[in-house]
Amino acid sequence: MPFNPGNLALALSNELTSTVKVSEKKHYNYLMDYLGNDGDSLGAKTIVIEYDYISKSYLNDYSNFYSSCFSKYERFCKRVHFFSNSFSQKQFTNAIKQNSLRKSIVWNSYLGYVVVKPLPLLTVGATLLKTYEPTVTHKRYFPSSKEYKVNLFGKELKVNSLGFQEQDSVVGACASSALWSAFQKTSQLFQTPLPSPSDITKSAKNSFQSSGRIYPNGGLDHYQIGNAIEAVGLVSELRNSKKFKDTGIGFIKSFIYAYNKMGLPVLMGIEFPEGGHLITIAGYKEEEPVSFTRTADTVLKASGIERFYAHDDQVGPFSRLSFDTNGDVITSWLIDDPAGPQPKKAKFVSLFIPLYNKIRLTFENIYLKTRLIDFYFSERFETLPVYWDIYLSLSNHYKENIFKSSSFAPQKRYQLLTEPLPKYIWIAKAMVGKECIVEFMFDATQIAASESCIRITIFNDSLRSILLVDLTNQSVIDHFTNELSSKFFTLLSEAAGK
Amino acid sequence: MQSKDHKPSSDQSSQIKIEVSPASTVDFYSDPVKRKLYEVKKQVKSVLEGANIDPHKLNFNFTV
Repeated sequence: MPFNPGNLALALSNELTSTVKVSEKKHYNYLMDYLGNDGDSLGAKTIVIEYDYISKSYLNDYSNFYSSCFSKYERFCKRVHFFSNSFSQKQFTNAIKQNSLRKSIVWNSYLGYVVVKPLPLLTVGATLLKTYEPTVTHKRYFPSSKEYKVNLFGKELKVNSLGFQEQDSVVGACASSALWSAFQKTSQLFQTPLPSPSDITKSAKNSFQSSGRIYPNGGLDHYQIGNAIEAVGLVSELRNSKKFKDTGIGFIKSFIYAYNKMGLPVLMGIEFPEGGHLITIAGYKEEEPVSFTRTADTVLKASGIERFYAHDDQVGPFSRLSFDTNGDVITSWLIDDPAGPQPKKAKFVSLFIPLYNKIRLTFENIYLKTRLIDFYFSERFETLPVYWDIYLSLSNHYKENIFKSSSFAPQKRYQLLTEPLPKYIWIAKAMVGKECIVEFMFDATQIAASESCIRITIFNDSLRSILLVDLTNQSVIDHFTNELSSKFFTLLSEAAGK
Repeated sequence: MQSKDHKPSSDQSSQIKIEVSPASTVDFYSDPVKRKLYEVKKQVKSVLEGANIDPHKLNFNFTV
C-alpha cells in the first residue's frame, strides 16, 4: 500500500494496539519523519506487509515470558517493509513470480523493515532501516552500522543499518534494548553472542537495587549493565565520574568519536525528570567546513562534531542527539510548546563502551601522549592551527585505507602494508586544515606503563626539515625522551630521516 | 629536502609550508616553558582521574 500517515499507522497496529494508539506513539511520528519525503528523509513510497513472520528476538522473549501467561499472546509478528519506489500489488506480485535479471523497481528501492510485535502498545520490534545518506554538505558517518541480509519471499535484499527495537517493559526496559542494539555490532566486531532482550535482562542478574525480580523488568543499573556486557565476553570502559563530566563537552564528544569511529557502539546514560534512560550511539555528523584555531589547549577534531545519531528505544533508530553549552544532552524527545514541539533536554550521566579485553589502552592514555607531543607544536609553532584526530582502529582497516590511497611512494607503501601490526591500534593525527602533517600510531593492546608508540609517519616535508634541525636541540631531545620515552624519540628521529 | 616517502614534487605542491624564522628555537629548559608544561601535566592528570569510576553512582537506575 502507498506510504502515508494512515497506512503507516495501520501497518504498525495489531489486534491489541489500534491505529489511534499507534498514532499517539513517539515512534510513529519519528518514523513518519524518518521515512517521509522531507529533506534528508528516506522517501518511502510503498509499504509491504509480511504476515505470520517469526522474529527470532521476539520468539526468545515469548519463550522466556509470554508463553507462560494465562492470557493468550501470539507468537507470530508481522514485518512491515518500506520501499522508495511506488508500485502496485500487481507489480509486487509479478516481481516475485518472475525471476527477472532486469533491474526491478521493487527490489532496487528497498529501505528496510519494522517488525510489529503482537503486544499491547509497545509493539516496535526488531527494526532495520537504512541510514541517512551522506551529502556534500552533510558529513554523516554510521560506523556502528553493518550489512544485514534480508530474505523477502526468497529474494535476498541488503540493508546497511544497526538493529533497533523498542522496550516491551516486561522482559526489558530501555537498557536491555540499548544493549541489544550494541551487541548487534559487537557480534560482528568481536564474534560475541547476540542475546535477545530477555536474555540480556537475565544475564544482568538482579542486584535488588530497584526490584526483587528479573521479570517484569523495571530497568538496569550500572552494575547490571556491566554484568550483561561481561556475559557476552566483553569488558566495559565506564565513565561516570564528575571529573569526566568536568573535562568538557569537547572532550566527551572526542571520547565518543574515538571509539565509535572503529564501529564500537557507545552506550550513553542520560537523566530525565522521569528517570534514567540508556541509548546507543551509532554514528555522528561532522561540522563543515572544518576550521580550528590554535589555543593553549590541545584542540581535538571531534570537539567540532555537530551531532550524534543514537538508537533511542523511546523514539526510533538513528535519532539526533547533541550537547548544549551547559553539557546537557538535547534529545529527539519532544515536549509541547506554544511555539511548536521542542527537543527535550536531559542530564548527561555516563558512558559505557563494550570492548574486547585485548584493547587495553584508553582514550585518556593516548590523549596524555598527544598533549605532550602537542606541547612541542604549541611552543615551536605558536600560531600554526594544529588540531588532533584521535581514534581507535583495527589495523586491517588502517592498512585497507593505505592500500586505497595514492599518497605513498611504492616502496614506502610496501613497507607500511607488510609490517606486522597489533590487531587494535590507536591513531593520533596532527592536522592543519585538511592535511595530516604527522601521524602517530600506538599499540592499543599494550599496557599503559610501557611505551606504546610503534610508528611515526611525517607527511609534511617542511615539518620534517624543521624537526631534523630541532632534534639536535638538547632541550627538545630531553622533552621527547623524558616526557614520552627514548623509544619515542628514536622513532621520531627515524621518521624525520635522522 | 625531497621526501623519501612520498611521490615526487607534483603531489608536494598541495602541502602547506610550515615556516619558522632561521634564528628561532624552542627552549624546554626555560622557566616559562617549564611552568606551562607543569600546567599541561596538571590538566592531563585530572583527565586521567576522570577515567576512574565513581562507585557511589553505580546504582543509578536506567528505568525510562
